[in-house]
Amino acid sequence: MQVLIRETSQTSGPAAVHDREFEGSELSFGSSPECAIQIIGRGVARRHGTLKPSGNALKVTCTGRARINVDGAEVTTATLAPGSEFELAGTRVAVQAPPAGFDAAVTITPARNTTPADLEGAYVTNLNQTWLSRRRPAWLLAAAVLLAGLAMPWLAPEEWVPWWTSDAVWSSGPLHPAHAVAIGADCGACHVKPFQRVQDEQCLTCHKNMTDHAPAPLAAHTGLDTTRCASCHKEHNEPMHLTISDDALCTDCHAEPDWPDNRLAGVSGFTEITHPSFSADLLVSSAEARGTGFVYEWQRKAVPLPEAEDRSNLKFPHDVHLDPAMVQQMDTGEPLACADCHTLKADDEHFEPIRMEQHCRDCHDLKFDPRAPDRELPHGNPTEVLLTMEGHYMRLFGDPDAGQPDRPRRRLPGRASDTDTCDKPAYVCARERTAREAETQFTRRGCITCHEVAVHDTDDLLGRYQVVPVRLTPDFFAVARFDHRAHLTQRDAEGDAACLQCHEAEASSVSSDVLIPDIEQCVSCHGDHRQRNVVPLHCMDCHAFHPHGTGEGAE
Amino acid sequence: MFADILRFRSYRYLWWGLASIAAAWALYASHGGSEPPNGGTWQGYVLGTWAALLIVWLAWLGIRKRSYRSRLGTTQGWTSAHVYLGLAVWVLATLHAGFQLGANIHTVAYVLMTVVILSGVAGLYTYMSHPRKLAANRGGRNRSELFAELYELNREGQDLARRCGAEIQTAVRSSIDRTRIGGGVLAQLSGRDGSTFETLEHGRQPNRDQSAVVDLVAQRITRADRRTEVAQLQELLAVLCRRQEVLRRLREDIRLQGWLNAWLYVHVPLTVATIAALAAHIVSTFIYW
Repeated sequence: MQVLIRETSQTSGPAAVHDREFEGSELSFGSSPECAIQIIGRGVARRHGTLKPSGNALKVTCTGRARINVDGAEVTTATLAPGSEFELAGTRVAVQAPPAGFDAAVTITPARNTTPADLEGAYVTNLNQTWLSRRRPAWLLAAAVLLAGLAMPWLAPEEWVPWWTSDAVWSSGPLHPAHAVAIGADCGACHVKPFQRVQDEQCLTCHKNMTDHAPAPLAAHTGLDTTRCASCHKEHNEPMHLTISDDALCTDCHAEPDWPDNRLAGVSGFTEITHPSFSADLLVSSAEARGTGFVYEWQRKAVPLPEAEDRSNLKFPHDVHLDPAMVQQMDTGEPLACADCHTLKADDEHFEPIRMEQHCRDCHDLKFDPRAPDRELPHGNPTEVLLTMEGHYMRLFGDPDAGQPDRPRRRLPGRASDTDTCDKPAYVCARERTAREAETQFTRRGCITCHEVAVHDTDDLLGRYQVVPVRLTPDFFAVARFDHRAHLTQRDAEGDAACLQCHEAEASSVSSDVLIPDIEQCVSCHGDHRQRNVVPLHCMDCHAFHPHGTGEGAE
Repeated sequence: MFADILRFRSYRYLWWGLASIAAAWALYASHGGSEPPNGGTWQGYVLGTWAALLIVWLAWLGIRKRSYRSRLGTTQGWTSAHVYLGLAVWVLATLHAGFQLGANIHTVAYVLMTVVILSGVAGLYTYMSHPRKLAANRGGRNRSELFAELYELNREGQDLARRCGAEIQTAVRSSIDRTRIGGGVLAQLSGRDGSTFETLEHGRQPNRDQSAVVDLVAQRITRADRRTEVAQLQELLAVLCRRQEVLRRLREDIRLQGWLNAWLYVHVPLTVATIAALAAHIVSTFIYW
């Protein structure tokens, strides 16, 4: 519509009119300069209302709570015919009959009593007059945070809207990868009861074979029986480790052991002063007479290294075997190397057992009769040895041709002549010869070379000789770990030289020598974390909190 | 001046803040190797409790500053402590978290708190720099006095324009009616001038900084025939130029005042949200202890 707006000026001086045209669908009025008719004064809204054509009249509609005054009445809407008017804050807006070319005409008579404050009020000059608010977003945000961060994960069913109702938003950090795979996002696998710490039962659901650090009475004394798994194993801190490596875990109790019947020395670090010298876990045998012989029982016993003697019942001089002049490889003539007998297991700590068949027999054959150079005694069973000899001599004396050597053979020094003569019946001759040879093998050369042999006073040849059983100590330090492979890499030594740095095998002439070094060898390179210029070791680098294997206490 | 608040009692609260930070670092450094630093160690609990109490206390400033009858310290003292301890709480919370962040409610609380502190730093900057600019811009007057001056100049301009021809009268009246001051959030903060005016010839025209109407009147002077008209137009031009200068000051005043307040529209709502997230953080931590 085309509107003629006539403004009368009565501010000062003579009254004057100013006409302007307006074109649009509606005529807005209010205090904003955006409005077609700007009315300034107290109580005028920024967009107070609009004027729209209604027949030949104009319909006034106020917005919101705004009011206009028509004939002394406060109204929100009014239809103003030509000749009528409304008043707002002293400003009068009168509807006139439109002149030719116009759809409507209004005359505005501004209020006389406007003030500078009214002018200021017509403009939005402060942020708090805009849509910006502090209170509304504050409550909205707080409610959103409490809803999404607390109420929904707690109260709503998990499967409802998984990304929203999952309690994963409470996780304070990633789980250990193994736990993450086994448990995933199932918080309830460990967190069973709200506001209750994680209990050991949840750990033991999977970790069924965990061994306790100390036996029950000791655990009760030291409070370990009431210590939760989770007080040491803290989850949700990955990529840190779940296990404690700090020395305080051990030294808090072991620096000054104060439990009853303690047999452990105090340890507060890893130096010769702060850590006790090592004790070797030896196998000790006890012989108990039973029948015509002895029964041997083996027990482990920790013995301080300086006093330790290995009672394996095997005779083995390391020095001879490592002397290139004395012992060479059968095939190459090279000296023996440590690894020819000692094969590291896959755990890099322990060694495969030494076996006669595999490691000794190449040199130490069990031939006993030069006339039968291919015949050897069986190893490991004295009765079988005697029966083998007896059978051999029986055949020899029963069939004089049987004993002739196939080829000329060098006579062994000290050995009796190959040609035995016996005029008695073959059976008697064979038994006498067997008795003589058995005595040689069991008491002078042969078995006695490597073994301890008990000779019993009996006429029964089968019960006369008892080879004392051999047990090689499999692990000299059961409560400690040691990585042999890592220690083979040394700056100045490799191969056997690396072994011999710690194990003084070249100077050992008897097998009772325990060739395991004491702590002074370790601390020549290693130390604890308080020292400088050492390779630092934590307690946990050698020891374990939960004992391996049997489930016995740490002792 | 706000700088006096920062210097309150010889930087008392700066030292409090620094002492808090130093103590927090010492506590953090006391973490042994048995557990990585996090909120669940005893050090973590101490740092977390300390930070949470500080946050609640810092938020209390919003209430304290309104209670004019409070005898619990001066508002200046509270504000000074709010600034320094508010900065310290960020260090405390970071050490409490052990630098561990993730996609969880705990990090939401941390991020909200960080935004609150950053908005506080922005507020601190405006409080340090804007009052001086505001005073310089107002030239010894306050905003109402500037509006009173504008009110008078509007009247004078309208009166003078009425004595001129229709072209000048339309241009000047409409330039006064269509003057924009302030307005929306962006208009207030940018000081943008969307003023327009109308000419008989071209209708509605942009009139930024009132320069178009000033130009129009100035050009009209050169084309005026009569000496009286020239004098009238020169008088009008002088009023319009004074008006232009007052409007510039008003817009700058609104802009500076806007920035002095704008940061609070982030600081206050996010403070409330931080406290909500803090509550969710604490409760959820102990639900899944």
